[in-house]
Amino acid sequence: MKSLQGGRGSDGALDGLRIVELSETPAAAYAGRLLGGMGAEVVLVEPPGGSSLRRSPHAAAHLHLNRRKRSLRLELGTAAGRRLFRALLAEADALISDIDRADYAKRGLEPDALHGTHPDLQICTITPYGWRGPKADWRATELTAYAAGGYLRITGDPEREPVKAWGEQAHLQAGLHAVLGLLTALHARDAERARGQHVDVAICEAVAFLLGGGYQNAWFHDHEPKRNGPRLVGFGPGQLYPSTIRPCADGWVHAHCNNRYPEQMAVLFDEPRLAEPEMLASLMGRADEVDALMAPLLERLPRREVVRRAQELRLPFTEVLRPSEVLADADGHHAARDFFRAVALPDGGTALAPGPAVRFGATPWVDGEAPRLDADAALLGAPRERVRWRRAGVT
Amino acid sequence: MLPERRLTPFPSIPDGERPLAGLRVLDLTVAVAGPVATLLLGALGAEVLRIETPWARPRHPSSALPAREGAPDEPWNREPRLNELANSKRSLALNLAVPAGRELFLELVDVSDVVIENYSPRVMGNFGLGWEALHARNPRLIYVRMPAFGSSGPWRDRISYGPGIDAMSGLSWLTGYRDGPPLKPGNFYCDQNAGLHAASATLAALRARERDGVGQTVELAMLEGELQLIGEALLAAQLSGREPTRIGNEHRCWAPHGVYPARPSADDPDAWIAIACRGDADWEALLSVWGDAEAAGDWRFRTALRRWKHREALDARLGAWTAGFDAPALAERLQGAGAPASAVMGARTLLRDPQIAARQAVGGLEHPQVGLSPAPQAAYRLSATPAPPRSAAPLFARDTRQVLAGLLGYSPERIEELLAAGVIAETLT
Repeated sequence: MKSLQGGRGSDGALDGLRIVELSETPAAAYAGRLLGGMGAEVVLVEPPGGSSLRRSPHAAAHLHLNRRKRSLRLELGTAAGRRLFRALLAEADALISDIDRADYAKRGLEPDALHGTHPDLQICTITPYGWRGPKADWRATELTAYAAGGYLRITGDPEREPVKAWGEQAHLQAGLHAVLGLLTALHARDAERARGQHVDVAICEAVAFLLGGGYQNAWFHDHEPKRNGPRLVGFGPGQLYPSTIRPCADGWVHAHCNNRYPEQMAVLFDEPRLAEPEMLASLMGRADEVDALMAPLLERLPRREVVRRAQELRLPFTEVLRPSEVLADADGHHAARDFFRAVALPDGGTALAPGPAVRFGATPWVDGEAPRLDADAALLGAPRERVRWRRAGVT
Repeated sequence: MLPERRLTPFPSIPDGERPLAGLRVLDLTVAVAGPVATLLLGALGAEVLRIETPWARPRHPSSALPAREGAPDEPWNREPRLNELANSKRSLALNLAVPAGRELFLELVDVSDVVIENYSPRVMGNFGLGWEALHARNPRLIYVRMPAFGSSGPWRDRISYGPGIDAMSGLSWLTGYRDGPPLKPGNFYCDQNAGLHAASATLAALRARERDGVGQTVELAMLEGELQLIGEALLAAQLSGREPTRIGNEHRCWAPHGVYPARPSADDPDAWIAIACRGDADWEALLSVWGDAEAAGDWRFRTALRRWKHREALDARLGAWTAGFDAPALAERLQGAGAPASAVMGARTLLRDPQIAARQAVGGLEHPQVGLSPAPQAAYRLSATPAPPRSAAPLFARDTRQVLAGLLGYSPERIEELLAAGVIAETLT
């Protein structure tokens, strides 16, 4: 086996770390993407048919989340495949995986057993309900995980079914928790507080974490707040308002008062009523009236003008932008920060993808292309051996 | 009927055994995003000194919880959202608006590893506490800032809270019912997301410091942290030439895939169940519990593609059935057959959930003025160095004197002088 050392070094903060990734969902893939962006070397081990992200529409999830990874094709259903995989792990700092919990035993990857042979490896498993507990065997998809974590309940109209946030936010949040848990385990290792650990991430808990202050309400008042359309959920009538999405002449704006100077709303909308003490004392309780007072101006003006006038008064209004408008970047903000990065497409073209999640002053964020399937097969050995494995169905 | 709600106190783990023991973080954060970052680092074992302005808390917040018996009447210590975000930290009241306060802050910088703030980009510079000043003082310091849009670019000085950034990321536009307007993707989604990013990036910078010997800045622009979450939509928009649309709870190729009514109860008058069938196996599992021979035989539901095409009819039929059942009980039966399903939980029902209890995903912290209080823990469990939340929110300014005396070696006389001069405080002023 060719050593990974001297592989793909970077100037990034995490240069020198080697992560092996087994991903079937965006959760582990996103964790790998962030670790790679911060400079770690990430080896994506794919089944013979390739990562499921490659089969997302237009392979968009693959192009976004698998950037700067190395790719190896390996059939973990074969004994030789598992042996090669374990050899790969021997040179890695961490394994990050979101495969089905039932598959760990089949592939010889149960954390306790794996630590027997790889005592210094950090093993991060991302499973729907976590590794242990009465629901550890329960299945989940993005939608049901969102429901199980309680965050689904707070979005939508009070008279309709709750509606989840777009995309795979539960899985992506789980990926973020995985990165923090993994970097913590590596810190503990380097500080000689522990050797290899099992970092056990539950997707539902990443969602449940989002509820934050909701638990205080639930515990002390035994109260479950009701979803509230575009308004904030779970606050009493004395809460400041607006924090909502309202239609205007050419789309929607996010309307928000300044929590320190709520009376500025009266200036923006030329409505003295919005600064009356009685009003200010119960803005959330009078949200319908506030919406009605905002409507005449909003109906007349386009988003940019509403936001310009509001921001001049230090009112934190913003435009609700469509994805195409985010990319068009009319104000040149993303361009000024060199945020979007061109990625090469399989057909030879290019497209823009999000760049740095975080900017380090001295150690750059490092981006790259999503790999071709098995692009780094050479990691596994000499060409002759690889031909043999290929014939045997191992790669 | 739901089981009794439960709140088991988190196990007490000595500070020195936590994985980030030995790190010190100066926490200047406000609102939600920054406090989430330091909340996470605090539970992991960093000593987080939350620096509060002596007069910055509302004295009589309308949301204050009732005081436990015998507790002094200090409603500013009983605000549930402030408390929720301050657990596992210490509290120090320090006035950075006066030179003596800033000098004291710099002395704390001398003995700290990390400074985190989420002010708008001009504030720290105006205090004379920008990166150059901090770096000159302590070259090993990591300086983490979390501006809304970044410290450069045309939107640098725009102001926004988290939900306004959700709007500018495209995520609000994508979230909502197929036939409805854009919605927020949750209450403070952008803030929570940014907090997690900032905590991770702090650890990455600390790792680089071990290698390179010097600290650096870490900038987490909340908007850029959130744009990662819709990367797929941004790429798909370019590759298809079409604007992605809101699709509510639907999936682009699976059906049934939705949130269906369940039988309301006194425990949960707003009862719903989420069911998602990824293919024929899940569909068969659902049918084995549903037992609807007509649905099973309906040609419209025979293949995955047909189920998706006729999903409205399928959803109506399935919803008419689910409406007769208790959501947690039905979810358990469906899971028993292998179909992904979950009751639509909420904070109240999660406090009664056996999985949450078994893993202590939410546990209790003893607060001196309001009593046992709930707190969620992060979604990871570390097998060798467990790190659940470690202490309830500190009372306002509780640690001012101890930090100055213990950490900086100030004499009692000096502390009295600073108190009298309003540079520091031991209670809300």
